[in-house]
Amino acid sequence: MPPDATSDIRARRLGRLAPDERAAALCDAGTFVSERCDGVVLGTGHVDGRAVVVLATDGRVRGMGAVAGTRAAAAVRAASGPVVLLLDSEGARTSEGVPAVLASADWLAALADASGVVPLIAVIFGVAGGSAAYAAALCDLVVMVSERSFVFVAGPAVVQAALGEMNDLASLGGTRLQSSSGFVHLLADDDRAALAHARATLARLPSNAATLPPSAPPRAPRASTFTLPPPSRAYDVQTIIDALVDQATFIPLAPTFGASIQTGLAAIDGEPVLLVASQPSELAGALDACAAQKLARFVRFAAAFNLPIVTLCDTPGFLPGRAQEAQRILVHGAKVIAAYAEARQSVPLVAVIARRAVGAGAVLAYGAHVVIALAGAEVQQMGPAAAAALHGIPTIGIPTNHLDPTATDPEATGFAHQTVTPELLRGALVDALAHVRTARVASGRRKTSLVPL
Amino acid sequence: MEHADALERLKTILIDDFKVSASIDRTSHLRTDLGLDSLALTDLAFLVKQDFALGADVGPESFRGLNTVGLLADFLARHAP
Repeated sequence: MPPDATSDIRARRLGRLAPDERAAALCDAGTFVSERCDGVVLGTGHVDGRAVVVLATDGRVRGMGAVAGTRAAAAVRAASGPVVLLLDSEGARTSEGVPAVLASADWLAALADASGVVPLIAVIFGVAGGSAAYAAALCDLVVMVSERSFVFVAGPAVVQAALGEMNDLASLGGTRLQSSSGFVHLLADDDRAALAHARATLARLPSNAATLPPSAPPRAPRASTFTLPPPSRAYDVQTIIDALVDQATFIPLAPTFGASIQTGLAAIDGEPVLLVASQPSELAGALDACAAQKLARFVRFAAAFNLPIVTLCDTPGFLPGRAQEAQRILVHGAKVIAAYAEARQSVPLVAVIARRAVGAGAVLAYGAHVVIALAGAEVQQMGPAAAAALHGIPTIGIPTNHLDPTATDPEATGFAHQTVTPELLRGALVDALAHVRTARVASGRRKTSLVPL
Repeated sequence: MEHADALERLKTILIDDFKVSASIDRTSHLRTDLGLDSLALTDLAFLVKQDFALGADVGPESFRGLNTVGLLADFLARHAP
């Protein structure tokens, strides 16, 4: 089926790249070798000198046919390095009926098989519907072009026919909705910027679960130190991040979903890490159901691909209340506990207690191979107001450590291994990461599937 | 911009970029009369925003409810510099 000439005219006018142009722009110059198979560009290339498999669907062709779906499945199954999906597809081609559906199902099964074996990255340029949407959902990282890309189970016409519900593309699956849903992790202004995001993330990831992520030349952090307000005051955790990670290396992932936890890829002294950070400017850093889902997902992702995890803990704990119970905070919170426990078995974990680790929120630091406390930080079973209410005593004037000052000191309680001041934190972190580098356990072909749970 | 100018420019876009062959007038419904699907309607929003040099305050949501050529042309006449 040839590309639709009308949509091609519009694509050119709007500055959208063709599928083969996208694949070529993703890869190092001159390295992409491809074949076109009925609406899909399949091929291999290099990104920063490392091999990747690229599948680019063509939005100018109506859906993915059976032949293309079968070839796509085979290409994914043969991959020993990252697979990058460049998606612009309505899903299985409706004019081909069941054969196209079965081929798409095989493609999705191949992606599930590859999950946790090689990094899977999806970049959505136009519409990703049906099987194309689920292909993206099976990927570890999803990039979308702001306001020009859309992803959903079924498009407006199908939804209207099935439910009588009227939607346009943006209201059904636009980047605003899918950012708030946590589906998309990175947004870009146009096609080339989206591809640059994919290249930047690939640069922090290993080729597969059996190899280590590549180091980069160390860079100084953007700031030399930071100052934190008292525990009752909010602050933006970016002020700490700027003083810890190598300058211009932090790539935030899904920053607006579950925003009380910030997650991102970064480098510290040239070594790639997953950075997880409480965000005290959102819900005072409390873990709600969305933050817990995001946190568990990326901790498992880092563990699968041998990324050390650095956690900045400053949380009053898991957010309680009826709304959170209804959103299954217990289930999602349990995922966080399990994800950290599993990660401890396979990658270095370093935690920093910035101001406080309260109640079950201490899971952010508990079990880390090295726990560093900032001077003045506290570990508490529960916050002082909650403790006072529980014991029926007035709250005003009660110090947080009213029983015994050592009872809440992270190092004195044995929770933390050392206590440092802010200006010494990066050095302590670099030393800790070097010290626990061998905490990685030898891995097999796949440590864990990353199929979203 | 004059309403008549906006209407003519919009017609040109519909014919050149969307290959609309049906007759176009102010009452033409973009979806049911001219056959534009949801993806085409999204492209149309971006194309008119680009060609009419609409400001950054005009986002995709600004086009909701502009279902006919006349309504869209009126909107463009009001917002084009």
